[in-house]
Amino acid sequence: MARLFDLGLSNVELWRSEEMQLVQLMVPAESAHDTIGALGDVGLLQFKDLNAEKSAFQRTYANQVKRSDEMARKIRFFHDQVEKAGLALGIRPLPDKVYDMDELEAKLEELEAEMLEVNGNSERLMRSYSELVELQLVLEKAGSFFDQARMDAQSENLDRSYSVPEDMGAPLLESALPVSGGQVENKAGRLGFVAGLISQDKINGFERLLFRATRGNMFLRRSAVGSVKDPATGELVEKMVFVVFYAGERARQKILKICEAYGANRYPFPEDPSRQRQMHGEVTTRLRELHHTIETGDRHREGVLQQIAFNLDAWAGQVRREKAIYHTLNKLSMDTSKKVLVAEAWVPVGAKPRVVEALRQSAEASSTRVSTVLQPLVTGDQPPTYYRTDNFTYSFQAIVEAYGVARYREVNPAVYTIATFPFLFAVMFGDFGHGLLMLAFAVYLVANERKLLRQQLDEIFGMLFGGRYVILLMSIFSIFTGIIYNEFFSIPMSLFGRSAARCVIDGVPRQEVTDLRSCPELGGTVSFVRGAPPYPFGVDPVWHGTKAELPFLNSMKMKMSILLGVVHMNLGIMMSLYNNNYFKDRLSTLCEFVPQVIFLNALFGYLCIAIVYKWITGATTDLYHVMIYMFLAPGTVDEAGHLFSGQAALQVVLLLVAFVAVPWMLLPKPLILKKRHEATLRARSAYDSVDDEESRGLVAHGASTSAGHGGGHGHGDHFDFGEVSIEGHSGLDRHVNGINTFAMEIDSDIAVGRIEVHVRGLKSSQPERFAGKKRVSIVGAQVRFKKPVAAADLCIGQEMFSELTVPVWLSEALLTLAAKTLSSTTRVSARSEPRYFMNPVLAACQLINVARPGEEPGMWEAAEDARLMLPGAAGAGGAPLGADERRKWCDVPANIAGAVFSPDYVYTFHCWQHYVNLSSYELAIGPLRVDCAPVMHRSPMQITVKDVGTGAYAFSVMLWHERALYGARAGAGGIDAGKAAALGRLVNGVRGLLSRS
Amino acid sequence: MSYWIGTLCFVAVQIIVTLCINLFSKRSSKGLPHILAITSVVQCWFMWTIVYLAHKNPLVQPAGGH
Repeated sequence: MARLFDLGLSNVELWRSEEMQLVQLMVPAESAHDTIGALGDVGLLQFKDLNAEKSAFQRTYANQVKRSDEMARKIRFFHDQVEKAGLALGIRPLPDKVYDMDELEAKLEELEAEMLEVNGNSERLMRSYSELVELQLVLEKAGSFFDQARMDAQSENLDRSYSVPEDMGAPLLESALPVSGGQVENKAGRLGFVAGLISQDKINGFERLLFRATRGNMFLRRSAVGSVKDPATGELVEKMVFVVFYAGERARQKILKICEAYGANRYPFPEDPSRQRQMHGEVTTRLRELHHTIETGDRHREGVLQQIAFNLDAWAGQVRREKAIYHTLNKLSMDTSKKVLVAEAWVPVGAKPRVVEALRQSAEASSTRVSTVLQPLVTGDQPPTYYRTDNFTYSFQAIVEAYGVARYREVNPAVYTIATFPFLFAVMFGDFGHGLLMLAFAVYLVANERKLLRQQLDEIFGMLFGGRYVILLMSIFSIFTGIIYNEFFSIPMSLFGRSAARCVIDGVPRQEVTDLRSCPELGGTVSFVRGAPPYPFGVDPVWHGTKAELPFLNSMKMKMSILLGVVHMNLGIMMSLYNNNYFKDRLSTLCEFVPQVIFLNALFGYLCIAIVYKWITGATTDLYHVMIYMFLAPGTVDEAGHLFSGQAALQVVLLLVAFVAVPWMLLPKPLILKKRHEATLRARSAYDSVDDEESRGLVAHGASTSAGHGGGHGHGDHFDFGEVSIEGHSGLDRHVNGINTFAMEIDSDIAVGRIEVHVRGLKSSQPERFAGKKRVSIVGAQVRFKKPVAAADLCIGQEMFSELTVPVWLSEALLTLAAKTLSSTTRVSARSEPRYFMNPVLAACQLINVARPGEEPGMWEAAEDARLMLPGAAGAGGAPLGADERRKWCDVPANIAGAVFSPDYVYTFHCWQHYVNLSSYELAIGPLRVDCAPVMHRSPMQITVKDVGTGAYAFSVMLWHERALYGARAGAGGIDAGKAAALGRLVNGVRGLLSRS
Repeated sequence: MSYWIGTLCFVAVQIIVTLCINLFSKRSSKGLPHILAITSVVQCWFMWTIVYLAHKNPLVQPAGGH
C-alpha cells in the first residue's frame, strides 16, 4: 500500500545536474586516435583545453585538422556536383567499402581529379559545341544576306537606268556587282567583310562605334537569332548574327579590335556559296558527332557521380568524425617524451564505468602494450553542468537553457518547467477544439518518432519534431483550459449542465425558462441568483455573446494572471531556498530568501488575497484603489477601498515590512561578503608577516646538515626556512661543515680554508663590519689551493640554474650590469649551462693578500699584497700596489695571462659590493630599487668562486631568499603580471644606464 | 459546498494518477513523473478554482442581452 503511494521524491531525475569528476587520462600516443574515437562514441567526456595558450596552428595535430578540412572541402565539392546533376544522395549508414583515413584521402583525391578532368572535358566539348552552333548560325544568316544582296543586285542591274537604289545593301559600284558567286573578291578588290555573333544588347553600341571608327565607311547587316549558348560563359544570351563590310586593311584592323572589345565572336565565312554549303554540311556532321560525344561524356560523368553519391554521406560522416577526433586531440597535452598524451576531462560520476569500459575495449582493439590510465583529479574548479536527459525531457531542458544554465548541482528549474511551460501556453491558447487538433499532430509526431528520427527533416518541421513532447503537453493542457474557458472552436459547450444564470422576471428567478435568450422577450433579465452554486466547471456558457462577456472575462483573466504570476514567483524563490540549503548558504537564506518572500507577499501576496477575498464576498471594492492608497495614504482606508475591518492597520504593517525588506535584501549580504573577504585577506597577510618577523635572521641551512642542526634553530615557533638562509657548499656534491654562522670551513676539490659572509641587515653578521660604509655584503676568504689554478680562470660571481623566465638579452644585460659593479673585466654567459656572470678574482676582489704558509695574517688584518703571486704588480721600490692599482693592472688580460694561484701560498681575499642587497634581494642602482626575486626565479643568489676553465668550485655560498624558495606564493611558476610590468619599466631604466656607461 | 466537491475531484484525480504511475510506469526512478503529475494537477485545480471563485459573485450580470 505504501508502495502504491510512494512518490519517490527522494530521487528525482533532473532535479540536480549530474555529479561530475575531473579525471586525467594518460593515453599512449600510438593509440591516442582510436581511444579518443572510442570516447567520442561514448560522448560523456568534456575535455579541458590544456593548450589554451596555443593558437590553432601551433597545436600538435593542426596538420591533421587541416587535412580533414581539405577532405571536407572535397566532399562539399562532390556534394555540389551531385546536387547539380540532380542525383539522390545515398543514405546508407555504412559505405560499401570502409576506407581508413589515408585511403579515403587518396580516394577523394583521385575522385576529385577525375571529376575535375571530366568537368574540364565536358566544358571544352560544350564550348566547341556552342561555337559550332554559332558558326552554323552565321553560315545560315550571313549566307542569306549574300543571297539576298545578290538577288537584289541582279534585279537592280536590270532597271538601274531609271531608279535609284533604295536598299542600302545593294552594291553601288558597278564593278562591285557580283555577276556570279565567287567573283566578288576579284571585282571588289579591297572590299572585305567580317561575320560573327554579338549579344543583342551590345549591337547598337557596336554599330555606332564601327561607324565612327571607319567614318561611316562600312556597312553592317544584322539578323536576330534568338537565345544562343555563349561559348565562353555557357550562358544563354540573346544574340545577333552580323556581317560588317568594310574597305581597306586599316578598317579591317579597327573592326577586328572593336569586335574583340565588344566580345563579338567572329567566324570564318567563305564567300563562295558552294563552299558555304560544303562548310555547312561539315559543321552539321561535326555537330552531330560532338553531340554524341557530349552525351557519352555526360553518361560517364553521371556514372562517376552516382558512385560518389552512394558513399558520400558515409564519407562525410567519417571525415567529420576524424576532424572531431583531431580537434579533441589538440586539447591534450603531449608529455616531453612524446609517448604519452595527457588529457583532462570532466565525466559524470555515473558514466565512469562506461568510459572505463570504452577505454578497455579500445585498448584491446589497438593491442598496444600500454593501456590508457584514467585517474581522478582533485580540483577546485567549478565542474560543468550536465543533465542526463531523455527524449521526453530533452526539449524542456533546452527551453530552460535558452534562458540560462544552472550552476553545478543547483536545482534544475526544468523539472517544474515541464509542467508549467505548457500550462502557461494553454492558459493563453485554451480552446478545446484547437487543442484536439494540436493533440492529433503531437500524437502523430510521437507515434512516428522512430521513423522520423531517422529522416532528414527540414528546418521548420525539424523544430516542431524536436519539440514534439512540448507540443503534446501543450495540447493536453489546452484541452483542459479549453474546457475551463468553455470554448470549442470559440463556441460554448454545455458539458456540465445548464447555465447557473436564470431568467429573472420581476425579481423572481424563473427555473422554467430554459432558453435564456428568450428571457428579454418575456420581460425579464438574465442574471445569477445570489447564493446559488455557480457553474461547476469553467466559464458559464451564458456569458457567450453578451455585452458583459468581455468585461467579465477580461477582469477574470487579468486576476488569474496575477494569481498565477505570484504563485510562480513564489515557486522560483522557493527553489532558491532549496539551493541555499543544499549549499549550506545560511547567509543567502537569511539575507536574500527571507526578505524576498516578505517583499513579494507583503505587496503582491496581499493583492492576491484581496482578489480572492473580493471574489468570495462579492465586495465591490476597487482593488486598484486599495493598492494605490495603500502607498499614498497609509493608515487610512476610505469607502471605495474598504475590504475588511482592520485593513488599515494590516496595510501599514505590510507596507513597513516591505520597506524594511528592501535594504535587508540589498545591503547585508554584500557587506558581509566583503567583510569575510577582508578577513581572509587579513589572515593571509598576518601569515605573511609572521614569516617576515620570525625569519629576519640569518639561518644557515646546509642541506646535509639541516637535520643535525634542527634543534639548533632555537625557539620553537621558528619558521624553518627564513627569509634568507645561507647554504654553503663547496663542490656541488660535498658540503661544508658547521655553517650556522657567517663563518664556514671549506674543503673543496681545489681549495681548503675558511670563509666569512657578512650581509648587512642580517643579525648573524657583525654590524661593525658595515659601520660607516656603503657596502651591503662582504665576503672574506682565506684559502690554500690544492692544485694550481690559472689566475684568469678563477672567478667570483653568480651562477644560475633555473630556467630563464626573462629574455636572454635581459638576463645578460642584468648580469653585465651587476658584474660591472665588481670589475670592468667580466665573464658573462647567459647562454652557457649553467649560465653565469663572473669576474676574475684578481680583478674583482678589493683585497688580495698572498703569503707563505705560516706567515699568513688574520683574515681581516690582512693588507693588500699580491707580490708573491704577481711579481709584475709591484709598485715603486717593490712596495705592494694599492688595491685599486692592482685591480686596474689585473683588468688587463695580458698582465695576468701566465699567473697561477699556486698551492704553495695562502691567499686571503676580501670582496664587497654595495649594489645587490642580499638580505632583501634588491638590486640598488642609484635611486632605483629592483626586486631580484622574480628575476632569480627560485634560484639562490650566490657567492661562488669557481675555476671557469675546468668547472671546479673553490666554494659556493648560496643565499636563499624565502621568496625564491616559495615561488608559488608570488604567483606560481614565475613572475606575476604586476611584477612583469614593473620589470618591463626596469628594463628600460637598466638599458639606459648601460648605454650611458 | 460544491467547491469542495470539485476540489475533492482533483484530489481523486491526483490519487488515480499516482497509482497509475506506481503501477504502470517502468522507470527506475519515479520521482520526476510524480512531480510532474502533482504540479499539473495542482495548477489545473488552481485554474479551476480561480474561474469558479470568479463566478461566485459576479459584479456584472449577463443581463444586457445578446
